[in-house]
Amino acid sequence: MEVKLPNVILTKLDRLVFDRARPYTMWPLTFGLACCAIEMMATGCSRYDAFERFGMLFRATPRQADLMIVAGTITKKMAPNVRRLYEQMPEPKYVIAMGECAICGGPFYDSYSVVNGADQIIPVDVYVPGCPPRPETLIDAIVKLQKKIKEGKIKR
Amino acid sequence: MAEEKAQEEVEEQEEAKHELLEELRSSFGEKILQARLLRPRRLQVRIKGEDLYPVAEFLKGAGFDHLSCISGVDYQEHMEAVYHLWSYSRRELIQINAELPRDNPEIASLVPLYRAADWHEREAYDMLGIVFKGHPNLKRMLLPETFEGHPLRKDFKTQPMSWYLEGEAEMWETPVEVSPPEDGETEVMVLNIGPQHPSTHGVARLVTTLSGETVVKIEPVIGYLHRGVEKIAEMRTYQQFLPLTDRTDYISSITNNLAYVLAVEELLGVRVPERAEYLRVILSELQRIANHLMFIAAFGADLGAWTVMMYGFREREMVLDLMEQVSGQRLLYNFLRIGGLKEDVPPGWEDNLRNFLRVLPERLADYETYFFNNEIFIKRCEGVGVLEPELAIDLGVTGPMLRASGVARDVRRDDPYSIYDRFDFEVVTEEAGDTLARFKVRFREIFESLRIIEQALEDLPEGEVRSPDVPKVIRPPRGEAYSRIEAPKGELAYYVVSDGKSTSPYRLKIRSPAFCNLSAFPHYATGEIIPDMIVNFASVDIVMGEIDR
Repeated sequence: MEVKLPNVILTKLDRLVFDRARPYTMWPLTFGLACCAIEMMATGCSRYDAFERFGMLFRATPRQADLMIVAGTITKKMAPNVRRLYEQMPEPKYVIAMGECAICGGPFYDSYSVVNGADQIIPVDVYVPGCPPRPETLIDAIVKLQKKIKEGKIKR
Repeated sequence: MAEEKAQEEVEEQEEAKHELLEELRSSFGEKILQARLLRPRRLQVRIKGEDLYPVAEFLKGAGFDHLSCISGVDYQEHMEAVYHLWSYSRRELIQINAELPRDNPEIASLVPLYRAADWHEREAYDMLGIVFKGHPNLKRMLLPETFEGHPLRKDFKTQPMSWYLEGEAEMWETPVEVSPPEDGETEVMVLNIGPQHPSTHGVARLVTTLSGETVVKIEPVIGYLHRGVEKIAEMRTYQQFLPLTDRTDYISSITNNLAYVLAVEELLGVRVPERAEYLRVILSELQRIANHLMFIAAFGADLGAWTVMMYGFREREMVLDLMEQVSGQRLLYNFLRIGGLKEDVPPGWEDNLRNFLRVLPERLADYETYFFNNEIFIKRCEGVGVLEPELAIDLGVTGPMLRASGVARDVRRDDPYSIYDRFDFEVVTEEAGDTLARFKVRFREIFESLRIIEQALEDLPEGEVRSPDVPKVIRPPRGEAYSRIEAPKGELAYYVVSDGKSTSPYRLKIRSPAFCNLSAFPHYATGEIIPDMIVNFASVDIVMGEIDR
């Protein structure tokens, strides 16, 4: 049954309030795997200072984080831990795959111990190319993710 | 004058070599299959596997006190365990090739002689399946116990694309069995730090056993970033492997480039143009500065001093700018080439470098007040994690960590590579051997690096930067090369074997400084409280890419 009332908008609270706030309060997990982690740190440090300007605050525990930046090569030995960390994060949660290794295995694609891309174990929202990506590229990825969240394109 | 001196040195070396090799021959007779001098300061002995222990014992008595590396090569018909021993007193490196049957590769463990052998042997067992008899804890190290096969054997097949399959997760899970020490009095607790932990610098994992707040036992678990670089090397050509060397120690990539190209150049017998040599020195010293600044930043973060992190990164960006102007990359430069450099530095770069040399000491003056006048900083570092010099040498510790224990050893001075013998610099040492000393050594080394860069910039000649003798298709003659350099973290070495037919290395082994320094960590870090252990761990300056490879 459809209710029609004048001057009334029906929406979910989630959609109206939280989806608007979420892009500006993403809390990433302090989580670095390899080379890209150094560039991720550089992005957050003096010259670029790109995390706190976006309202992002690194959290050391997955239970307080809602963004995972997979920065580096995922090895098969590390993969179960990466997945567990993802599962420990509360919903809604987002993933950025940073660098070639997290996209497809990168220069180690034919190794016996490397997982060919983060999307084989967890769902990925934004891919950042580069080996390693420059801080500007990571900032761009964050802006893209914000846009995606605002537009409600991420289905949960 | 310099040439004469060098000539004299060579002659001296020859005599010394004869002495040692003759002694070896007279003591062991038939057992020495081959003994020869490869070049000044490089000896080689070939023996059967079963004779290893007495030969090693003899060499240790003869002054070879530093076990640099243990690796192995699978020659398909037989296997070889390869040992590299360095003598700090004789300033010579001896390479022992111990031949083993392939179906039953067993050899005596050297742990009773050199405690540094512990991790090296475990790695060789893991990668090649060489069984070291008498090893106290011969378990797989980089790969899980359930892994089948030994990757660096030639018959190990890798798939072109390895999809991550269901069920593999269970296989790669790495539980660690901890047996708490049984004194029956205190209740112990096992605390697992890592692999995801802010203070472990990447994906290191420390399984610590605590009694109250005191650390009783530490067991580092590594391999979470094991990318199989050494196996990939066998599937790439010599040039193609160069970018991967960057990615082993990603904080100081130029030095990794340098160690690798030096090894291949030794195999090829190529001489590098003068200008390239000077630029290599400048770039590696810049890299050392960047590495130490990164260390300072990360160390500050571990202490809870976030300002330091910002300071360190601010200065490091200056180095990265210089590197970017040269190579176009911020982090992984891939700028050195076999036989020289990729290209010359851009015009005006030298002025930028001079400007940097002027600015950095001014900035570092701030650091001195920030650290050494800071009571909290001193209190947290002083007397924490003292490493005795004898123990350090026995455990194979190198680099700033060794120098902080008062042992003035530096590959740049003891075993000069490239053109380091032309520069005047001090080997920085500290006596205390604690965390503060390790910090001070690295801090002061920045100034020494600046001095070397200044000298190199002054003498920088004009000319080519790439040797015309290097062929497009690199196929070195049959042989082995072991190139040691002083990387920012310690002694870095690449052991490259060529079979003379293929365009890719037959075997490549990376002796990484952080691997050996981390292997020493459990031996001296127990008995501290947990916060001290974290500070102590930060002062080792590890990079997991290099440890796990």
